[in-house]
Amino acid sequence: MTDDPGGARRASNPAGAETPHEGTEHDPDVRFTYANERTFLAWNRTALALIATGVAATQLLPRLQIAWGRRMLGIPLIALGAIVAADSFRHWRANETAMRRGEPLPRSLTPFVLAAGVVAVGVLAAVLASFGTG
Amino acid sequence: MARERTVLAWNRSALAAVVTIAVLLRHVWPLRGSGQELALGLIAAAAIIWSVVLLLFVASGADSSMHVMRGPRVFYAMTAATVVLAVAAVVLAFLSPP
Repeated sequence: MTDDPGGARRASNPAGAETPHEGTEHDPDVRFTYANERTFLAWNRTALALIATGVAATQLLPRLQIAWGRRMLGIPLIALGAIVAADSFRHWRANETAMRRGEPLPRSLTPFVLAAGVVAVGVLAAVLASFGTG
Repeated sequence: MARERTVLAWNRSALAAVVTIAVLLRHVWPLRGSGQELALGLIAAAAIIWSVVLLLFVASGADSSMHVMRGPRVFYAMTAATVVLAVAAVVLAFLSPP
């Protein structure tokens, strides 16, 4: 037995690195901060691409047999872009907080949401295309 | 190098934003005749300004260990601007023929 309260913490950290005490924060490694920033920017670019694709779908596609067909394709893409943009900020902030506290990074559902959304729009596009153009 | 990659990422994001805005504006402001020359002139001027600012930034020779900790306001503003673009795109979708 030891009186050293930090001994157990150090024992669980073989690298011997200082871990912040619970409730304290510290500036994370600048490389990880930059990586978090680049991740946010990448998600933001993805959101912009979804929005641009949605606009293009509503404006450039030929008129479809189904009424409002182009809007049915474009508006979900635009909405997906807005969701991805909003979630990218939430995830950036959660990562930043976790890094400052020395906690594990939180998992993100954004890739799943994005993949599911794009697949859904793709299936919808295939269904609408099967009806032909107007 | 991480800083350089981050700078490049900001450049890519700026390009993506410009393209998205151009796609939105294209259907609100159709360019005909002298409007096309005006648009080309604006694009050329923007490219020159962008290049100059980027060169100045690189030439500033900032220490690689120095970094600007961008607070959450910058990212919040970017996110808000993207959501505003999305809202504008939805409005545009409803204003165009179905």
